[in-house]
Amino acid sequence: MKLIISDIKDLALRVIGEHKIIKPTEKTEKHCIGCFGCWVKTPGECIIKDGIDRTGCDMGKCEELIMISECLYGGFSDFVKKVQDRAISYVRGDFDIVKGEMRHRRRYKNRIRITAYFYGDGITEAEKRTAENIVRANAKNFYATVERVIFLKSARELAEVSL
Amino acid sequence: MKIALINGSPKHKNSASGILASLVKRLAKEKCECAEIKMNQTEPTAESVAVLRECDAWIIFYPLYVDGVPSHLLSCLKFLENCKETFDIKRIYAVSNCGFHDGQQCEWSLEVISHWSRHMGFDFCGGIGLGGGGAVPEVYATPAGEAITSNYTKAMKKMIGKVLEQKSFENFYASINLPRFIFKLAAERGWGRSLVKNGKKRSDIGHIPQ
Repeated sequence: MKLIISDIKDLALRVIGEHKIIKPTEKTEKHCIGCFGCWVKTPGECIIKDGIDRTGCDMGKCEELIMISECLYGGFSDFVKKVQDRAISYVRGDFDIVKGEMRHRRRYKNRIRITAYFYGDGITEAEKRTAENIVRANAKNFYATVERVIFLKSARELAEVSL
Repeated sequence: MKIALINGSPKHKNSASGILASLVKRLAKEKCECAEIKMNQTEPTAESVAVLRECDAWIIFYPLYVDGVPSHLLSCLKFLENCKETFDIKRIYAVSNCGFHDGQQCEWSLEVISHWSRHMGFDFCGGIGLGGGGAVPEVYATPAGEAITSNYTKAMKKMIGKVLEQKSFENFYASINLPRFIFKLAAERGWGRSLVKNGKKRSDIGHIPQ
Protein backbone atom coordinates (compact mmCIF):
# COMPACT_ATOMS: atom_id res chain seq x y z
CA MET A 1 0.00 0.00 0.00
CA LYS A 2 1.12 3.54 -0.77
CA LEU A 3 0.38 6.15 1.85
CA ILE A 4 0.27 9.66 0.45
CA ILE A 5 0.28 12.67 2.76
CA SER A 6 -0.43 15.83 0.80
CA ASP A 7 -1.10 19.40 1.87
CA ILE A 8 -3.01 20.10 -1.36
CA LYS A 9 -6.76 19.81 -0.99
CA ASP A 10 -7.88 19.82 -4.59
CA LEU A 11 -5.12 18.36 -6.72
CA ALA A 12 -5.99 15.27 -8.77
CA LEU A 13 -3.11 12.87 -8.41
CA ARG A 14 -2.37 9.94 -10.69
CA VAL A 15 -1.64 7.07 -8.34
CA ILE A 16 -0.86 3.54 -9.47
CA GLY A 17 -1.91 0.64 -7.24
CA GLU A 18 -3.48 0.40 -3.80
CA HIS A 19 -3.18 3.65 -1.90
CA LYS A 20 -4.56 5.97 0.76
CA ILE A 21 -4.37 9.75 0.55
CA ILE A 22 -4.39 11.97 3.62
CA LYS A 23 -5.04 15.60 2.73
CA PRO A 24 -6.66 18.64 4.31
CA THR A 25 -10.43 18.37 4.80
CA GLU A 26 -13.17 20.83 5.61
CA LYS A 27 -12.93 20.01 9.28
CA THR A 28 -9.69 21.17 10.81
CA GLU A 29 -7.61 18.30 12.11
CA LYS A 30 -6.02 19.00 15.49
CA HIS A 31 -2.32 19.40 16.10
CA CYS A 32 -0.38 17.05 18.41
CA ILE A 33 -0.70 18.13 22.05
CA GLY A 34 2.34 16.20 23.27
CA CYS A 35 0.34 13.96 25.64
CA PHE A 36 2.02 10.67 24.56
CA GLY A 37 -1.41 9.01 24.83
CA CYS A 38 -0.55 7.16 21.62
CA TRP A 39 2.22 5.41 23.57
CA VAL A 40 0.65 4.91 27.00
CA LYS A 41 -3.17 5.18 26.77
CA THR A 42 -4.11 3.70 23.40
CA PRO A 43 -0.75 2.33 22.21
CA GLY A 44 -0.47 2.64 18.44
CA GLU A 45 -3.31 5.16 17.98
CA CYS A 46 -3.63 8.86 18.67
CA ILE A 47 -6.24 9.66 21.32
CA ILE A 48 -7.64 12.62 19.33
CA LYS A 49 -10.29 11.05 17.12
CA ASP A 50 -10.55 13.34 14.11
CA GLY A 51 -9.69 11.21 11.11
CA ILE A 52 -5.90 11.30 11.24
CA ASP A 53 -5.62 9.37 14.51
CA ARG A 54 -4.71 6.10 12.77
CA THR A 55 -1.95 7.43 10.53
CA GLY A 56 0.61 5.47 12.59
CA CYS A 57 -1.36 2.27 11.81
CA ASP A 58 -1.52 3.26 8.12
CA MET A 59 2.24 3.70 8.12
CA GLY A 60 2.52 0.20 9.61
CA LYS A 61 0.69 -1.18 6.56
CA CYS A 62 2.46 0.75 3.82
CA GLU A 63 5.50 0.00 1.73
CA GLU A 64 5.78 3.47 0.31
CA LEU A 65 5.24 6.82 2.02
CA ILE A 66 4.87 9.74 -0.35
CA MET A 67 4.81 13.22 1.15
CA ILE A 68 3.72 16.17 -0.96
CA SER A 69 4.41 19.43 0.76
CA GLU A 70 5.06 23.07 0.33
CA CYS A 71 8.69 23.61 1.34
CA LEU A 72 8.20 25.75 4.43
CA TYR A 73 11.43 27.22 5.84
CA GLY A 74 13.34 24.16 4.54
CA GLY A 75 10.91 21.63 5.98
CA PHE A 76 7.42 20.23 5.63
CA SER A 77 4.36 22.48 5.65
CA ASP A 78 2.37 22.79 8.85
CA PHE A 79 -0.31 20.39 7.50
CA VAL A 80 2.09 17.60 6.54
CA LYS A 81 4.01 18.18 9.78
CA LYS A 82 0.76 17.95 11.74
CA VAL A 83 0.02 14.54 10.24
CA GLN A 84 3.60 13.44 10.98
CA ASP A 85 3.41 14.68 14.57
CA ARG A 86 0.13 12.82 15.08
CA ALA A 87 1.67 9.59 13.73
CA ILE A 88 4.53 9.04 16.18
CA SER A 89 2.75 5.88 17.30
CA TYR A 90 4.33 4.26 14.24
CA VAL A 91 7.23 3.75 16.64
CA ARG A 92 7.13 2.90 20.35
CA GLY A 93 8.00 5.10 23.31
CA ASP A 94 10.98 3.05 24.43
CA PHE A 95 14.42 3.31 22.90
CA ASP A 96 16.97 1.40 20.89
CA ILE A 97 20.51 2.31 19.95
CA VAL A 98 20.96 2.05 16.19
CA LYS A 99 24.39 2.68 14.67
CA GLY A 100 25.35 4.55 17.82
CA GLU A 101 22.29 6.82 17.80
CA MET A 102 19.24 6.69 20.02
CA ARG A 103 15.97 5.87 18.25
CA HIS A 104 12.48 4.91 19.33
CA ARG A 105 11.88 1.19 18.95
CA ARG A 106 9.95 -0.09 15.98
CA ARG A 107 6.35 -1.19 16.48
CA TYR A 108 5.96 -2.64 13.00
CA LYS A 109 8.20 -4.84 10.85
CA ASN A 110 7.52 -3.17 7.50
CA ARG A 111 10.28 -1.26 5.77
CA ILE A 112 8.99 1.99 4.28
CA ARG A 113 10.42 3.70 1.21
CA ILE A 114 10.03 7.46 1.49
CA THR A 115 9.56 9.87 -1.41
CA ALA A 116 9.15 13.58 -0.71
CA TYR A 117 7.93 16.16 -3.20
CA PHE A 118 8.60 19.69 -1.98
CA TYR A 119 7.07 22.49 -4.02
CA GLY A 120 7.48 26.23 -3.91
CA ASP A 121 8.83 29.14 -5.87
CA GLY A 122 12.14 30.47 -4.63
CA ILE A 123 13.28 27.57 -2.44
CA THR A 124 16.92 28.39 -1.66
CA GLU A 125 19.74 25.87 -1.96
CA ALA A 126 20.20 26.02 1.83
CA GLU A 127 16.50 25.24 2.34
CA LYS A 128 16.77 22.31 -0.09
CA ARG A 129 19.71 20.91 1.90
CA THR A 130 17.76 21.23 5.15
CA ALA A 131 14.69 19.54 3.61
CA GLU A 132 16.83 16.65 2.33
CA ASN A 133 18.43 16.25 5.74
CA ILE A 134 15.03 16.25 7.44
CA VAL A 135 13.77 13.49 5.12
CA ARG A 136 16.94 11.48 5.82
CA ALA A 137 16.45 12.01 9.56
CA ASN A 138 12.81 10.89 9.23
CA ALA A 139 13.97 7.75 7.43
CA LYS A 140 16.37 6.92 10.26
CA ASN A 141 13.69 7.40 12.89
CA PHE A 142 11.14 5.35 10.92
CA TYR A 143 13.67 2.59 10.02
CA ALA A 144 12.90 3.51 6.42
CA THR A 145 14.86 4.28 3.28
CA VAL A 146 14.78 7.45 1.19
CA GLU A 147 13.68 6.77 -2.37
CA ARG A 148 13.75 10.34 -3.69
CA VAL A 149 13.52 13.96 -2.60
CA ILE A 150 12.19 16.11 -5.43
CA PHE A 151 11.81 19.89 -5.58
CA LEU A 152 9.18 21.45 -7.83
CA LYS A 153 8.58 25.11 -8.60
CA SER A 154 4.84 24.60 -8.45
CA ALA A 155 2.43 21.97 -7.13
CA ARG A 156 0.86 21.99 -10.63
CA GLU A 157 3.88 20.03 -11.90
CA LEU A 158 2.57 17.08 -9.88
CA ALA A 159 -0.25 16.67 -12.39
CA GLU A 160 2.33 15.22 -14.79
CA VAL A 161 3.71 12.74 -12.27
CA SER A 162 2.50 9.18 -11.73
CA LEU A 163 2.86 8.27 -8.10
CA MET B 1 16.74 45.47 26.67
CA LYS B 2 13.58 43.37 26.55
CA ILE B 3 13.64 39.68 25.64
CA ALA B 4 10.71 37.52 24.56
CA LEU B 5 10.86 33.98 25.94
CA ILE B 6 8.58 32.08 23.58
CA ASN B 7 7.38 28.74 24.91
CA GLY B 8 6.56 26.76 21.77
CA SER B 9 5.44 23.58 23.50
CA PRO B 10 1.82 22.53 22.80
CA LYS B 11 1.51 21.51 26.45
CA HIS B 12 -0.42 23.84 28.71
CA LYS B 13 1.78 23.13 31.73
CA ASN B 14 4.87 21.27 32.88
CA SER B 15 6.76 21.33 29.60
CA ALA B 16 10.56 21.20 29.29
CA SER B 17 10.35 24.31 27.07
CA GLY B 18 8.46 26.21 29.79
CA ILE B 19 10.94 25.12 32.47
CA LEU B 20 13.85 26.26 30.30
CA ALA B 21 12.16 29.61 29.61
CA SER B 22 11.67 30.14 33.35
CA LEU B 23 15.30 29.17 33.98
CA VAL B 24 16.48 31.80 31.48
CA LYS B 25 14.19 34.36 33.12
CA ARG B 26 15.83 33.65 36.49
CA LEU B 27 19.34 33.77 35.00
CA ALA B 28 18.66 37.07 33.24
CA LYS B 29 17.01 38.63 36.30
CA GLU B 30 18.06 42.25 36.92
CA LYS B 31 20.06 42.27 33.66
CA CYS B 32 17.10 42.74 31.33
CA GLU B 33 13.34 42.61 31.15
CA CYS B 34 11.85 39.27 30.09
CA ALA B 35 8.37 38.52 28.76
CA GLU B 36 7.19 34.89 28.76
CA ILE B 37 4.91 34.12 25.83
CA LYS B 38 3.03 30.86 25.28
CA MET B 39 2.57 29.65 21.73
CA ASN B 40 0.61 26.44 22.23
CA GLN B 41 -2.07 27.07 19.60
CA THR B 42 -1.87 27.54 15.84
CA GLU B 43 -1.96 31.35 16.09
CA PRO B 44 -0.34 33.66 18.63
CA THR B 45 -2.78 35.91 20.49
CA ALA B 46 -2.99 39.61 19.59
CA GLU B 47 -1.60 40.39 23.07
CA SER B 48 1.40 38.12 22.42
CA VAL B 49 2.09 39.77 19.08
CA ALA B 50 1.97 43.21 20.73
CA VAL B 51 4.51 42.08 23.36
CA LEU B 52 6.72 40.53 20.66
CA ARG B 53 6.84 43.91 18.89
CA GLU B 54 8.29 45.51 22.04
CA CYS B 55 11.09 42.97 22.44
CA ASP B 56 14.61 43.31 21.01
CA ALA B 57 15.44 39.61 20.99
CA TRP B 58 13.24 36.53 20.81
CA ILE B 59 14.27 33.17 22.24
CA ILE B 60 12.12 30.36 20.87
CA PHE B 61 11.95 27.27 23.09
CA TYR B 62 10.34 24.20 21.55
CA PRO B 63 10.29 20.40 21.72
CA LEU B 64 11.64 18.46 18.74
CA TYR B 65 8.78 16.64 17.00
CA VAL B 66 9.65 14.19 14.20
CA ASP B 67 12.97 15.90 13.45
CA GLY B 68 11.35 19.31 13.19
CA VAL B 69 9.43 22.16 14.72
CA PRO B 70 5.97 21.13 16.10
CA SER B 71 3.23 21.83 13.55
CA HIS B 72 1.30 24.34 15.67
CA LEU B 73 4.48 26.39 16.12
CA LEU B 74 5.11 26.27 12.35
CA SER B 75 1.60 27.71 11.92
CA CYS B 76 2.47 30.49 14.38
CA LEU B 77 5.72 31.23 12.51
CA LYS B 78 3.73 31.43 9.25
CA PHE B 79 1.26 33.79 10.93
CA LEU B 80 4.11 36.05 12.04
CA GLU B 81 5.61 36.00 8.54
CA ASN B 82 2.28 37.17 7.16
CA CYS B 83 2.58 40.33 9.27
CA LYS B 84 6.36 40.70 9.17
CA GLU B 85 6.18 44.30 7.97
CA THR B 86 4.83 45.27 11.39
CA PHE B 87 8.03 44.23 13.18
CA ASP B 88 11.40 45.95 13.50
CA ILE B 89 14.43 43.72 12.98
CA LYS B 90 14.79 41.24 15.85
CA ARG B 91 17.61 38.95 16.96
CA ILE B 92 16.41 35.34 17.07
CA TYR B 93 17.76 32.58 19.27
CA ALA B 94 16.37 29.04 19.50
CA VAL B 95 16.45 26.27 22.07
CA SER B 96 15.21 22.88 20.92
CA ASN B 97 14.89 19.95 23.31
CA CYS B 98 14.42 16.36 22.24
CA GLY B 99 13.44 13.11 23.90
CA PHE B 100 16.58 11.39 22.70
CA HIS B 101 19.74 11.59 24.75
CA ASP B 102 21.70 13.26 21.96
CA GLY B 103 20.81 16.91 21.37
CA GLN B 104 22.45 16.76 17.92
CA GLN B 105 19.16 15.37 16.58
CA CYS B 106 17.74 18.92 16.90
CA GLU B 107 20.16 20.21 14.23
CA TRP B 108 17.78 20.37 11.24
CA SER B 109 14.96 21.96 13.23
CA LEU B 110 17.32 24.76 14.24
CA GLU B 111 18.01 25.27 10.53
CA VAL B 112 14.26 25.62 9.98
CA ILE B 113 14.17 28.43 12.58
CA SER B 114 17.18 30.00 10.87
CA HIS B 115 15.42 29.91 7.45
CA TRP B 116 12.25 31.37 8.98
CA SER B 117 14.35 34.20 10.48
CA ARG B 118 15.64 35.01 7.00
CA HIS B 119 12.09 35.05 5.62
CA MET B 120 11.17 37.49 8.42
CA GLY B 121 14.17 39.71 7.66
CA PHE B 122 15.46 38.97 11.18
CA ASP B 123 18.94 37.91 12.33
CA PHE B 124 19.29 34.32 13.43
CA CYS B 125 21.89 34.50 16.20
CA GLY B 126 22.29 30.89 17.30
CA GLY B 127 20.57 27.77 18.49
CA ILE B 128 21.01 25.09 21.10
CA GLY B 129 19.93 21.45 20.78
CA LEU B 130 19.33 19.73 24.09
CA GLY B 131 19.10 15.96 24.53
CA GLY B 132 17.03 14.31 27.24
CA GLY B 133 14.44 17.06 27.34
CA GLY B 134 11.57 14.69 28.05
CA ALA B 135 13.07 13.91 31.46
CA VAL B 136 13.29 17.56 32.54
CA PRO B 137 9.70 17.95 33.86
CA GLU B 138 10.17 14.68 35.81
CA VAL B 139 13.50 15.48 37.45
CA TYR B 140 13.68 19.27 37.62
CA ALA B 141 11.90 19.66 40.96
CA THR B 142 13.64 16.66 42.59
CA PRO B 143 16.69 16.98 44.90
CA ALA B 144 18.92 15.64 42.11
CA GLY B 145 17.31 17.86 39.49
CA GLU B 146 19.89 20.62 39.62
CA ALA B 147 22.79 18.21 39.11
CA ILE B 148 21.02 16.26 36.34
CA THR B 149 20.20 19.45 34.42
CA SER B 150 23.50 21.25 35.11
CA ASN B 151 24.52 21.00 31.42
CA TYR B 152 21.29 22.77 30.52
CA THR B 153 22.02 25.55 33.00
CA LYS B 154 25.51 26.00 31.53
CA ALA B 155 24.06 26.18 28.01
CA MET B 156 21.40 28.71 29.04
CA LYS B 157 24.02 30.88 30.81
CA LYS B 158 26.17 30.88 27.68
CA MET B 159 23.20 31.86 25.55
CA ILE B 160 21.93 34.62 27.84
CA GLY B 161 25.45 36.10 27.89
CA LYS B 162 25.38 36.34 24.09
CA VAL B 163 21.84 37.71 24.08
CA LEU B 164 22.82 40.50 26.48
CA GLU B 165 25.96 41.30 24.46
CA GLN B 166 23.76 41.34 21.34
CA LYS B 167 26.06 38.78 19.74
CA SER B 168 25.68 35.55 17.80
CA PHE B 169 27.03 32.09 18.48
CA GLU B 170 27.46 28.88 16.51
CA ASN B 171 24.75 26.30 17.17
CA PHE B 172 25.82 23.86 19.87
CA TYR B 173 24.44 20.78 21.57
CA ALA B 174 24.24 19.41 25.10
CA SER B 175 22.65 16.48 26.89
CA ILE B 176 21.08 15.84 30.23
CA ASN B 177 23.77 15.02 32.79
CA LEU B 178 23.09 11.27 32.92
CA PRO B 179 24.89 8.44 31.09
CA ARG B 180 22.90 7.38 28.07
CA PHE B 181 22.20 3.83 29.30
CA ILE B 182 20.79 5.14 32.59
CA PHE B 183 18.68 7.71 30.75
CA LYS B 184 17.37 4.93 28.47
CA LEU B 185 16.52 2.65 31.40
CA ALA B 186 14.86 5.46 33.35
CA ALA B 187 12.78 6.50 30.32
CA GLU B 188 11.67 2.91 29.72
CA ARG B 189 10.64 2.47 33.36
CA GLY B 190 8.73 5.73 33.06
CA TRP B 191 6.81 4.53 29.99
CA GLY B 192 6.04 1.26 31.79
CA ARG B 193 4.68 3.10 34.84
CA SER B 194 2.52 5.34 32.64
CA LEU B 195 1.06 2.33 30.83
CA VAL B 196 0.14 0.64 34.12
CA LYS B 197 -1.35 3.90 35.42
CA ASN B 198 -3.58 3.91 32.34
CA GLY B 199 -4.80 0.37 32.95
CA LYS B 200 -2.45 -1.26 30.44
CA LYS B 201 0.24 -3.88 30.79
CA ARG B 202 3.90 -2.91 30.43
CA SER B 203 4.07 -5.21 27.39
CA ASP B 204 1.34 -3.12 25.69
CA ILE B 205 4.10 -0.68 24.75
CA GLY B 206 4.49 -2.79 21.60
CA HIS B 207 0.74 -3.28 20.97
CA ILE B 208 -0.27 -3.36 17.31
CA PRO B 209 -3.80 -2.02 16.74
CA GLN B 210 -6.14 -3.89 14.37
